[in-house]
Amino acid sequence: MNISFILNNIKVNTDVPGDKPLLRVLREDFDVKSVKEGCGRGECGTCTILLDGVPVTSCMVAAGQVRGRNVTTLEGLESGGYVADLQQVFKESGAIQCGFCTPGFIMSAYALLKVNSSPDRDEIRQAISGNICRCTGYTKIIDAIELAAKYAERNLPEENLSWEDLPEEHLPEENLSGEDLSKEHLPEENLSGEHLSEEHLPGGNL
Amino acid sequence: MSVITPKKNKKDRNIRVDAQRKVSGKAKFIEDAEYKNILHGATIRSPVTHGCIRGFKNLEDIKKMPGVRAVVKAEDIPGDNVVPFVKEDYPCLADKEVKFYGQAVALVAAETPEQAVAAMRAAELKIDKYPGIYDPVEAMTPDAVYVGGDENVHSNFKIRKGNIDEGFKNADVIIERVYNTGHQVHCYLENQGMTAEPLPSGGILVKGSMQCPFYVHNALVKVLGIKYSDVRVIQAETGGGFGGKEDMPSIIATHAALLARKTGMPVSLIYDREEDFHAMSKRHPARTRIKYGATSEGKLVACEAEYIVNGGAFCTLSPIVAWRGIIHITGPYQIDNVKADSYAMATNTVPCGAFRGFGQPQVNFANEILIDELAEKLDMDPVKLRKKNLLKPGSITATGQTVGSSCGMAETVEKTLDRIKFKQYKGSDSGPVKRGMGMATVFYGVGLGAEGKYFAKAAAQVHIKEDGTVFVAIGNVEMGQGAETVFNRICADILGCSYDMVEVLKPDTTRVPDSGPTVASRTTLMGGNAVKDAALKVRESLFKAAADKMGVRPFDIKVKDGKYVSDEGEIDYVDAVNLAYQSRERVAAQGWYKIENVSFDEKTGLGDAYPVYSFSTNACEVEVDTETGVVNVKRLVAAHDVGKAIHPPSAEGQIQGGAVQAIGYALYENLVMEEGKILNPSLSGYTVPTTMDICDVEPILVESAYPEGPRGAKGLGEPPMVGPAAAILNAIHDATGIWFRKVPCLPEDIVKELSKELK
Repeated sequence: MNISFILNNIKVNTDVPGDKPLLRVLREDFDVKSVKEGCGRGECGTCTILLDGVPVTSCMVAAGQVRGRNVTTLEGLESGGYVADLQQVFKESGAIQCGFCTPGFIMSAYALLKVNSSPDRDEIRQAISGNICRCTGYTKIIDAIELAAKYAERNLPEENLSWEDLPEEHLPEENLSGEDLSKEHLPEENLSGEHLSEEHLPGGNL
Repeated sequence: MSVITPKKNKKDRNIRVDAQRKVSGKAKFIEDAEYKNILHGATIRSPVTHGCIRGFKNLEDIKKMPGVRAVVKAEDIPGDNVVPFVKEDYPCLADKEVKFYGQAVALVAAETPEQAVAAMRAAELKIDKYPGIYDPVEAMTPDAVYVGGDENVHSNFKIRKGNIDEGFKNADVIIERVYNTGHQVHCYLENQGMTAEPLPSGGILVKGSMQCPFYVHNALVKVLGIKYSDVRVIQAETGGGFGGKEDMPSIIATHAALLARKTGMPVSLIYDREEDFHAMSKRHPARTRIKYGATSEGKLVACEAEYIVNGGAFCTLSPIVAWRGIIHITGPYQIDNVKADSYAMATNTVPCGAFRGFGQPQVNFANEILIDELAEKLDMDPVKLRKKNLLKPGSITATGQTVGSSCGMAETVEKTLDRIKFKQYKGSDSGPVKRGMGMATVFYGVGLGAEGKYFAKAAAQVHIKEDGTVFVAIGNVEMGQGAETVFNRICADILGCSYDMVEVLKPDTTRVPDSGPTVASRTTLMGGNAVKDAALKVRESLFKAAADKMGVRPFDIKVKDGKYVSDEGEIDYVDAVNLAYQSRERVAAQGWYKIENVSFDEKTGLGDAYPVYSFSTNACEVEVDTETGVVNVKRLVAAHDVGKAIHPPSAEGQIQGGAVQAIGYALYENLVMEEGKILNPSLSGYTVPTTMDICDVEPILVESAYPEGPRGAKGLGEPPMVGPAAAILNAIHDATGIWFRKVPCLPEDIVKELSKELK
């Protein structure tokens, strides 16, 4: 069955059986590997994606169902400034252990913050209740999402904001030598101080 | 050469080295392996719990199915048909007899995963069904069906210390109870998986999700019948292990390798959740009987105990589980007279293996509830009773070992109780929802101990490149627990470079010698000391080069804030590296660490069982809805003496994650078996805690340094799982007045007991 849909803001087309799970379409036909298979039955949340902006487990969506619709994965969020901050707070809060569930949690957290910019801890718990993490005990993941919301509201004193720190820590790991430390080499998603115009502030993209 | 200034603000220090690749979704797990032409494997499994295979009904038809490239049976195994664990009883593929539902019988490789699964499902076996036995206590009876081991005993251990009869004679109060604990499933989010690729040399390269690359290497040598140098094993990013990827990956790796050898092509063998549930190891269900004798003042004078675990159809790691259980069965108390026996029994159920805590959650559950019940009998505060008997430096353990100076037991009790403001409700709440508080103390022998002495070693290599960046090769794995970050910090702090200059490599068995398994909370201690040894050796070169430049002796130099400092001046780390390269000093070194001072006499059960112990205290507050039986853990505080936390956020994460697994163990995780077959092999049938089921666990780090450990660190991975279950059931007792003696303690259990009370 020929299916056209929007994948991470790009119009795509593929010929697959209509009942093929979207999870496998993404992984096998489009090489989108952040979407993980933990159970294949909608029970664990590791394959969470946004379908027209709503978080769903992609293993439970049939390929035929996404025709003409908007599918967003972690790869598609990465060019936006906001998700970089969400990822940064996950890193800073110790919200990651084995990392297999992490993309799914980021997708659920992103979807939550998009509709509720200042969730309390119970609302966060509710929003990520479909994502299982067996490593962290959840507390640090909830901490991270709470912190992301605070960043978004700019409630924190400036010196605590990570993007106010020097740009080195935002460099991708491969840029280790001193020669590459020019601003021009900074990828867009790594917000340096200079990029912090009002338009790029977290929340501004929501 | 320009210098990368070490930047070590708190946030940078907190960020794990593997965080970026994981948070971006770019970490490569084995399911993300990229091969152009790869075949997909599937496993044909036994549909019965006990029987004899008389062959296939339709082998030729299966071979002709679309895409099928190979079928491998036991007779096709070129080496020995055995996956080596503690014993050599587990066949790689069942030859004739099958002993549990889901045991691997044959393998199939096909061009697509669907084709492989279709062939696997189509396979029909000719099987004569035998009667099975599923209960470990029943397996002990003389007329029980024979499953394995010596009269169905995989292994047994005993401890005989002091004089048990005299001990009970001197007791004013004696109490004896039996406790039952169920299976627990690891539920790592990433299922088991391996790829195997034939090498041009004739050897085999295996990559996959694993805790123990060297176990996998050994198994491949054995099953394929090839040389050690023909095998290469590389750990892939591993999505959680908790013990479930200690022994089992050896089986999957040999299966993938057999298919790869047969087809001459790379093969991927990745389990789905249901298959993982049926065929992979579990926490041993156990029946634990303990009898304490105490004086009226509350001094414990005798402990008699029996620990029976269901090892399942094959032995795997059951002996070491039964051993760790018995060593810790008295609880963290000094008791002079001890008689204890443990048995790992064979039954026709899925083999049980390693799971975080490794035999200890079961016994701790028993002794920590019994100590509360003893306190009630003595009319004494349970905290006071514990304090009278808890181990402290200089105390003697059940095996006669003297507790060393690194013992923060008392401090963990104080800090935990203080934080939670511990008090007993004694059923005082009048409404249907009743509050209760409970506690449990834990001691935990770090590492494999005397029974795993052969593995008590670890290696590492530290290799500094021209620009000062560093490769650290290790033999113990990152599986989520934070090992890469710990090794990174140990190495960077010794060399005086910034954390982002140290790259910790995935274990590769061709790069470092056998470092033992990544289990038993041993990795920071063993691997950390090996990295330390290597880093110190390489630093000698930098010291020599820097000393020559400054005109001082190497031992006049100290590392301070990323600089090599002497009375004559200072040199940046990177410049020291530069000088060392110019003078062609050694810039790479192998590190090594081993443990010698452990012993165990199998006749008496006495000896220095472990090199050192970690100590912890758990306390919680629960709400029990007496109408529905639902228990809510409202607060859980856990203080752990870790020796020294090398990366505190990861240490906290270990405590929180382990405690939540223990909440699941205590209240939710219920594996249901009927005649040896699992009835709920899914994450909705077997429910692990979600965010809606748990509270925020409050971790407290206590640091009572262990002089032998890297920077004083001991082990932490497993202890957080050990104590909370007993603390929760003690709290349920405090709320309801009822002693529950089994886990999982389900709402229906609670309602049933409460309705009995009403009658």
